[in-house]
This record gives sequence, C-alpha cells and structure tokens, in this order.
Amino acid sequence: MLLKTLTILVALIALAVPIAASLGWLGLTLQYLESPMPLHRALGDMVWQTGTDFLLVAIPMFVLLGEILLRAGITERMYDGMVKWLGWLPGGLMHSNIGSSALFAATSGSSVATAATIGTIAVPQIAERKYSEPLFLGTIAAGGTLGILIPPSINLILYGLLTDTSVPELYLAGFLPGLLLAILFMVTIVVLCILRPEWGGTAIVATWKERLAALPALIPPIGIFLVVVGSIYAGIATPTEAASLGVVAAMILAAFNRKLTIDMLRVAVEGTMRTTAMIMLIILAAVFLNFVLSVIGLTQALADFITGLGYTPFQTMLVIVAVLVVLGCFMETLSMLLTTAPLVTPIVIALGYDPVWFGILLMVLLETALITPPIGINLYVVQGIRERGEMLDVMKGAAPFVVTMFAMIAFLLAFPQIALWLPSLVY
Amino acid sequence: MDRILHTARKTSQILAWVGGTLIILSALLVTLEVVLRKLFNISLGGADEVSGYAFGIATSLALAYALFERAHIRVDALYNLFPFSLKIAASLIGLFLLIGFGAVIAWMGWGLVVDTLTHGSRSITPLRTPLAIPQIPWILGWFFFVLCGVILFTAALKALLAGNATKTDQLIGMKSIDEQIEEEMK
Repeated sequence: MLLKTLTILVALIALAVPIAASLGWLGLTLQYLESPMPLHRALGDMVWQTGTDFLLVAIPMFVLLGEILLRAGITERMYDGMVKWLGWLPGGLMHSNIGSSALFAATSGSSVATAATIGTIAVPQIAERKYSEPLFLGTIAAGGTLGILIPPSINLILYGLLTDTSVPELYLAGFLPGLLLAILFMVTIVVLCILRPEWGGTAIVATWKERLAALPALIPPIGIFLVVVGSIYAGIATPTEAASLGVVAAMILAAFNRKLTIDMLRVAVEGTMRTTAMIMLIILAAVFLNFVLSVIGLTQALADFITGLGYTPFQTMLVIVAVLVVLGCFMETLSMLLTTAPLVTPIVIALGYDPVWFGILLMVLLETALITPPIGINLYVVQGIRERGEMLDVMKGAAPFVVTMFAMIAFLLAFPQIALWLPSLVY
Repeated sequence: MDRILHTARKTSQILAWVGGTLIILSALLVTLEVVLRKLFNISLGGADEVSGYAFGIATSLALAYALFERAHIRVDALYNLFPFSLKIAASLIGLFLLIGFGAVIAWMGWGLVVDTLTHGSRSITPLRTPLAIPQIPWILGWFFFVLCGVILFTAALKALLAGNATKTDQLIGMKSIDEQIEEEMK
C-alpha cells in the first residue's frame, strides 16, 4: 500500500501533472482501491468547509497585502531607505537586499514577486559599486526565502491546517528562528567581505540627515509589519483579522502616496486571485488526500514502519531531514510542503518530537529548497532578472547561504528551545 | 473556437475581479469588526462567517482565471528535460486530470447544494444564514471552472490537430520563469 501510494504520487508529479490534480487523483485512486466506503462522497462537504474556513481567509489577505505594497511602490522606497541605514556595513547594499527581502517577503505570498522586485532595483548597482556579482545575486536569492519563516507566513498557516497545530503558536515559534536566520545571513556577508574585501564593493556612507530623511519610506512598511504580527502576538487579533488590518493599513498608505488607483487595485487583485485560487485548489486536494490516508490507515502504517526500524528518534530525524533536503533540490516549496507535511508530521510526533518545533524546522528546509540547485526557483528568478551571464554565478553566490541554512538546521536540531522558548512563555 | 476561448478568458478575468472585490470588502468588514470590538466593545457578529463565505465564493470564481493564466503549479524537474512533443502530451494529460478532478469536486459539491436546497439548511451560527445563498454562487464558480477547462482543452487539442503545436504550448504549456518575471514587471 505504501509502495503503491508513493509510486502513483511520484509518477504523477514527475509527469508534471498539476500538483492539485496529482494529490486529488492519488486520493481518489487510493479510496477506490483501499477503502470499502465511497469516501469521495465527503468531498463536497469537505471542499465547502475548508474553502470557507475563516483561518484560511488569511491567505488572500496576506497575498493582497504584499501585492498592494509592491504595486504602490512602497517596497521600492523601503529598499532605498534600507540602503541608507545598512549601507555602511562590510558588504553594503547586500545587507539591504537581505533586510528588505526579509521584511517584504514576510508580507508577500510570492517569492517570485519578492525576488523580482528587489532584484530589479538592486541588480544595476552591482557594476556601479563594484560588488562581487555572484555573491550579490546570492543575497537576493537567499533574502527572498526568509518570508517562509518570518510571520505572517502563509506556509505556517498551511502547516497548521494540515497537522492540526495552532497557527499563533507556530507564529510565535517562528519569530526567533526567522530573526536569527536573517542575522546569520548578514554575518555570512560580513565574514565573506572581511575575508575578501574586493567582494564588498564601495561602501555607502549616508549622513544622519539622509538617514532621518529616509525614515518616512521605512517606518510605514515596518509599522504595517508590527501591526500585523504584534496584534497576533498580543492576542488582540486572530491571524485572519491581523491580515485584514494589514490590508486596510496598506491601502491607506497607498492612498497617502497617491497610488491608490483603480488600475493599481485591479493589478493587485488579479495577482491575488491567481495565487489564491492556485493555492486553495492544492489545499483542497491535500485535505482530501489527508483524510483518505488516515481513513485507510496509511498514515499510521507509515509511522509504525518508521518507528519499527529501530533507529533512535534522533537518527530517524536526521534521515527525514536528509530526505527533505534532497526532495528540496527537485521540488518547489508549496508542493513540497503540502505533499510531505501530512505524511511526515505523524511520524515525527510518534517519535516524541513537538509538532510546533518540527513545523519551524520544516520551514527552514523549505527555504533551503528555494535556493538549492538544480530546481531552486529563486535562483532562476534572479538569473531571469539579470538577463545575462551564467546561471552558475547565481548558484555559486547562493552556496554560502545554503551553508548558513544548514547551520540553522543544526542549531534547531541541537537547541529546540530556539523555536519553543517564545511559545512556552505564552502557552 | 478562438472566439469562444476569448470570451471565456475575458469572463474569467471579470470573475477574478469580482472575487478580488469580495476579498477587499471582507478585509474592510473584518477590520471594522476588530476596531469596534476593541475600542467600543461592540460586536457586529458574524464578520468571520460572512468573510468565510466571501472567500469560498471568491476562490471558486477565480479558479478559471488561474487556469487560463497557467498558474496551477506543476513540478518542472523532469518536464524541462522532455522533448517538445512529450511536453505537449504531458500538458494535455495534466490539464485533463486537473479538469477531471475539478469535475469530481463540482459534482460532489452539487450534491451538497441539492441537499441544502431540499432541507433549506441554515448555518449553525447566530446568523442562521440560509446556506443556499453562499453555496449557489460557489458551485457556479466550480461549474464555470470545468466549462473553461473543457473549452481550453478543446482549443489546445484543435490547434495541435491543425499542426500548430506552438499554439497548444502557448495555451497550456508550463510557464517559463522568464514569462513569469515579464508579467511581474509589466
């Protein structure tokens, strides 16, 4: 049964069948082959219940929030502001790449949009300020991955939904690791630029006057981020309510910048609905598959099989991490999250690990997947914006950050408290 | 055929705008609810329920738009290595399976709506919403998705049989990263 399931799944995905259809047809096939009851009868009700779940309303809200910030030019101005504040560090602009990506990716549903926006503003600076081209490109690719972990992450909502884990708790757990990873990225840049000063380009020294002048571009997006995340942490609002507040705040901000036009909203809404429909169809299929897998006992069988191998929980965890790293080289993050979380999380829980902690670990693994060759979508996006040179440059430049991510995974394995300390204060 | 395809595409875009408007309205409603609750201790009640319905309807209305925009994610690890003819075949099979799954959902969803209509079901919340009101536009979105899928599949197959495989690829092939970036930039 296990082998059959994996074979069907791998075959469908390898043939480039849309992920939603792959998961859906796997569910339908398994229930036909393995279940005495027609489980698909429950499908209509399941699609309705999941499709109108208030928690998931956060998905279009967060995507729309990111779209408005992007289309109203707020992201661009934020990047310029970051340059003034972070430009003096060894590595200059590259820190702004990480900083703006972290902040913007956190509110945007699309890593393509994030990397594309930051990349278009940043790439022309490479020649002007004589940066090491590969490393500079690597910072854009790596920075764009941070949104998966930093709340309000859509991926954490999806993980929470599929594994019955509290989303606010996951958000709390993701905060420190997300911050730590952003800092580690910056440390990586500083260390590399101290070792090889010629990589760091000419530093940008801004006066305090310029820095203060840049604040109006910087404070509003940071303010929106704080309103959204803060209201969740303070217990004022649920993730969906916080996301709605964020959308309204972003629209007000766009209006102040005289960018709140019907045209802007139309483009923002098109992007939002395209992403939402795509994500939701996969989620609906994944929820159905999840249901079939547990009814036919496959989830349990898999957990029993793994625990029966007689490895210690830690050894098993290492194997799981290794498998996910390899998978990440070939799969894009959303598909990877929605296919693996329902299968792997029960095993992890059976081994005695905390599902909240594993959720965070899984997010870092997904981030790694975004920049590991051969299939790392951010690598392709950055290369696509650059429109010249070799793909290999981007891969080389991203490699140090892959190493940093591995260090982060090791930290999380060795010190689960990094993720669990904040939630333990509240829950 | 091109005319039908064009109309379907245009309609799907309009429905996506309708869906997006529902999402923006939900954001305003939920924000109003939070502000009133926190500052004035007044609860509108039901903002969560109503925005849930709006979300469900918005999603089903936008499915067809995402289809025409080739936004439904496929994994390209092997696909990129396929020769052109195999890419076309994989795209046709993929679209067929996607629409098939959509049709199963639409069929089962229709069963749910018929149940709702025969029993006059209402939500078990203080609002006691007659569920037919949100469920009818919701199921129509799913029907429209399947209909557009059939139109797109027919158009793609017709182009292929007419010897115009490039057009088939433009209609249903996987979007390259360059195409995606181009769209972000325009």
